[in-house]
Amino acid sequence: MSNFLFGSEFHRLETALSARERLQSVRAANIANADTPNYKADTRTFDDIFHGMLKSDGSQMARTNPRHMEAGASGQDSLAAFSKHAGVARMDGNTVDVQKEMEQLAENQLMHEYTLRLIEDHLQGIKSAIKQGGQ
Amino acid sequence: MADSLFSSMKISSSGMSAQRTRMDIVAENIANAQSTRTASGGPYRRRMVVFQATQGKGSFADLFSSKANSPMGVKVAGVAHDTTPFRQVFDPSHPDADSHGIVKYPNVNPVQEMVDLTSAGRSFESNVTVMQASKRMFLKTLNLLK
Repeated sequence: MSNFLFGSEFHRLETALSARERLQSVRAANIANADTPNYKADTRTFDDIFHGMLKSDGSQMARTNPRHMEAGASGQDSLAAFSKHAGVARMDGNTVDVQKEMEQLAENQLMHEYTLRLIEDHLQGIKSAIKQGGQ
Repeated sequence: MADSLFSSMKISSSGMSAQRTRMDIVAENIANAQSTRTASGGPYRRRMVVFQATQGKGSFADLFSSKANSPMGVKVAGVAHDTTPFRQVFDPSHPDADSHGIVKYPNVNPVQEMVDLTSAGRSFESNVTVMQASKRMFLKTLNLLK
């Protein structure tokens, strides 16, 4: 999984990219079901998905100091808890807020691109090393 | 990896086709707002779609990792009939008038239909937006190969 050129950082970036793509389909599902009676909006955040993925392949981020924030403790911080309960059911029992979904969709798109840039940088670094810094 | 982007496009397309069906039904209701005869007898009865969330069908990965919370698409579960009473109009000269001169017209309210049509249009558009976003993300990822 992690080798000489592609270390754990690269693996983490790759996982982040997959998590962004997965989050995209979560948002798509919420928007597609904006008119479905009794549909409950999927409020999973990037943190939930990303740390779920890291956990499932056993490469969780280590806490080297007890004062570090615990990774992936989603639902613990007040903001995430707020968004989980903020979905006020309409008359038909649906809790999708299309405006909020759209905002998160845009954010996800930008962060996806940002992750791509980081990966590109990483690859560029490796390329440069292989070519002895372009000499 | 790109599988989830394809699945999000599939989900958006399920939303688009569901909203299209809804528009078709609205068109049918408006077209038949004055129909006093139908094949089954009696005036036309207003119809409406019933949406249902579907567990992400389609891709193999979805089925394989069928964790209960995989993202869901939407489908039209069926078309229901509106059981509210018909509109009654006094018009003895109408061929479908009963012995008291009352004609039963469909229980279609044009204002309600127009609101439904607008709402379906907006929902369709938001699904299009999501699909475009997914497509752009996929293309950007492809650019890594350059």
